[in-house]
Amino acid sequence: MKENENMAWYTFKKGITSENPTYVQALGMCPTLAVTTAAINGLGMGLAVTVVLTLSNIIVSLIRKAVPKDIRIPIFITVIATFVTMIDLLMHAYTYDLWKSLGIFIPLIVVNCIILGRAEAFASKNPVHYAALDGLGMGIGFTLSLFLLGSIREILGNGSWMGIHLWNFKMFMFILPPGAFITLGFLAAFFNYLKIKKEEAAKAKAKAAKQAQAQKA
Amino acid sequence: MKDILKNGVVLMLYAMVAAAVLGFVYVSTKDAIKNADLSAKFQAMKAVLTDYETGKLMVDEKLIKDKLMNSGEEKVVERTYEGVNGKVILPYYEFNVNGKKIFVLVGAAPGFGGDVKVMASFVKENGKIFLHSIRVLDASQETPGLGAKIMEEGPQKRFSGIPQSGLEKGVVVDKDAKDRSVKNKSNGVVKTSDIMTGATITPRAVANSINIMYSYLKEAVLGGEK
Repeated sequence: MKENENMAWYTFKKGITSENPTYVQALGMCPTLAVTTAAINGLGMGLAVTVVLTLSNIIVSLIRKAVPKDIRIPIFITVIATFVTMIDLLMHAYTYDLWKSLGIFIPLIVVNCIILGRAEAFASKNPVHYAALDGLGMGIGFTLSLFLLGSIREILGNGSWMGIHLWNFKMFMFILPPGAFITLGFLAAFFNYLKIKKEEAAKAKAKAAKQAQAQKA
Repeated sequence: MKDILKNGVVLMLYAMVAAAVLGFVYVSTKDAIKNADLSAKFQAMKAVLTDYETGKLMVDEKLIKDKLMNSGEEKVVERTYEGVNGKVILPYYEFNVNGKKIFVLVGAAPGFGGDVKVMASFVKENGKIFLHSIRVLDASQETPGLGAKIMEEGPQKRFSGIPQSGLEKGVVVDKDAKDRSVKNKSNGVVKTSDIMTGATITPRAVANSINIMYSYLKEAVLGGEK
């Protein structure tokens, strides 16, 4: 039971940290670079992806035994596209303002490779509850990444955050496409640096423990 | 061969289920979507029919609603103004209030990434037409933080109240107004460069769509009148 819980927690957590879709797996770059001109856009896109990813992971996992291997990709795409269209229609009908501001991002979700990637690599091989946790974790990881990227670009490029005016110093480049690549590059480098530091620390610790053991003997 | 057939049938079954689910959702949200679109249009119309000086609605709210409800299907008319290809999206709406005639039109002209869609109200009073105010309906293809700022009220208000002399000369943004001796609204010049720094293309699209709507109004709507 304990092990199961750990496994579930790991399945959820890995999408946010060690297998973060944006900074580690470098998946879904097109929407990442295109929509993160402001913090709120990043947040909206991230949440829309989270919902679609979780739902499609659940369905893909449920039907995984009834999907012939040769045609799994078209079937996954059908499932994903169905959810996206459904959400597009429902949001248009009942949350008009949100739909208006997210309108252009929603159709983009179909071709977001995170969703197909997780369906193929995880959901089609694992039981439903793990698939759901994986989708939720990856979605939240994606949301946080986009929110961070969007926040930095909005603060540097427009002098505001979440639409709140901060100062008049603006570097337009950060709102334009080059700013997206530069910010993403620096963030990916930073997270890689943290990862390497952590690994080095773990190695040093293991080495110290070994030495201590050798000395004891 | 047998495998291919089997795969085809399986794929078809999945597609059928997906189509059935989508069909169900489509039918059950159809009316709600129509209502949502209508109420968005209603809000925009209320905005352009609000006097920009006094802040009062010029036309009865109920009348606007009635006109909208009975307006029928949308129709797009392609139109060119001085080399710019734009559109007028019909139907247009006409209101008669205290001897004034108010026309509400929707037009579009290309911006930075796609069409910028604008609703505008023109008032005809004592034989003269002037542009009352505008509301940008869609600028979702413009650069966020730059061109997309046109969705804010400040830049849109700059286009309020352009007299006929300005409309006849053609509306331009101040950056394109090198040939105009006096840069004011009577000469068709709208100042946007201070409020939308770094973005000229989007307000230019708004100016173009106003010109397209005005030329349509003059030729197709008021063509027979004197």
